[in-house]
Amino acid sequence: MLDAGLTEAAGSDAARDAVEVVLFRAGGVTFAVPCENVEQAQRQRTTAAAAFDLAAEMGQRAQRDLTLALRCGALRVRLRVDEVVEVARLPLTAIHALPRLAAQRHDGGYVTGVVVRETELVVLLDVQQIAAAHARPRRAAAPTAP
Amino acid sequence: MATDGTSQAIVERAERLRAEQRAAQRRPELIALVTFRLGHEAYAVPAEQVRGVIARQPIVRIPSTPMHLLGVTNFRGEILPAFDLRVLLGLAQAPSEPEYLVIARPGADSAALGCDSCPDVVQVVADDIKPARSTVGSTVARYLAGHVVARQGAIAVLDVDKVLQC
Repeated sequence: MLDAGLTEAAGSDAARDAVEVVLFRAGGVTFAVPCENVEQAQRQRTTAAAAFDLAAEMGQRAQRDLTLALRCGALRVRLRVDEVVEVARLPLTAIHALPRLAAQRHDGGYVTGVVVRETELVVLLDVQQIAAAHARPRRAAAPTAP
Repeated sequence: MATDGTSQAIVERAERLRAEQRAAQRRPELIALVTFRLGHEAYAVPAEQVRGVIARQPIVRIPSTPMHLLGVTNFRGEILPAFDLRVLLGLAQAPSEPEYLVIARPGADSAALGCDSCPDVVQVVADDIKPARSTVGSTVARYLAGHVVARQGAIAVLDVDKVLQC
């Protein structure tokens, strides 16, 4: 379902007044990451410990062993999430910068903004910042015999 | 040229104005405070630094931030940081959803301050606000502008600038 949503989202990428995102929940908060950074969502117990745990960053425990695989250039990173909600198109006008007093207290710089979506607030993440701090480099292709 | 009667009226008027001026100078300066409760204690912030008060409002937590930053909230379309005063002042260990939010703006930045009771407004004489008591804990004292005893009892007056610098 997620793959289908990503394909559909990629088709409408031309519109510059909006950003296509994958919405997911972790620690009771709805987050968004750009579709272009998402590889797949998978249930993978063995990697859960290695994944960046947003719930833990909010003093909570993750509810499920679900990870969202993200990529940014040559870097890959996994986020531990509770639920992948949907693929959505967020108008740029709905995106607010993180208030200065909150940004000053945010360690890591990976929260880029807050999106007002109907009645809820969605926290927009910068995959590049997360990847820079927590990613493993993409495995180089195996050398081939001449 | 003014007649004697007119001159007399002008003199009287001038005297009356001088008397009013002297009375105004003697009148104590009043300050309006927005008061609220944190646990069993009464706290206040200057009303001139308050933009509004809202009841229980959804707050979205931001990861990788200190516990006293509850998160951000939507105040009339504006995204504001929300602070847990009880955690900040050392009155509670863990954050909790506040009943009310006082929207304060001491300078360029606005912020929501969580409190336990419906805020009220009281007027106090400015000179009655005394330096913070020495019996107040050092964590609380760090954020106080002073204390005042009003009809409702003792009120600790917060220095909003210091609170938002936390």
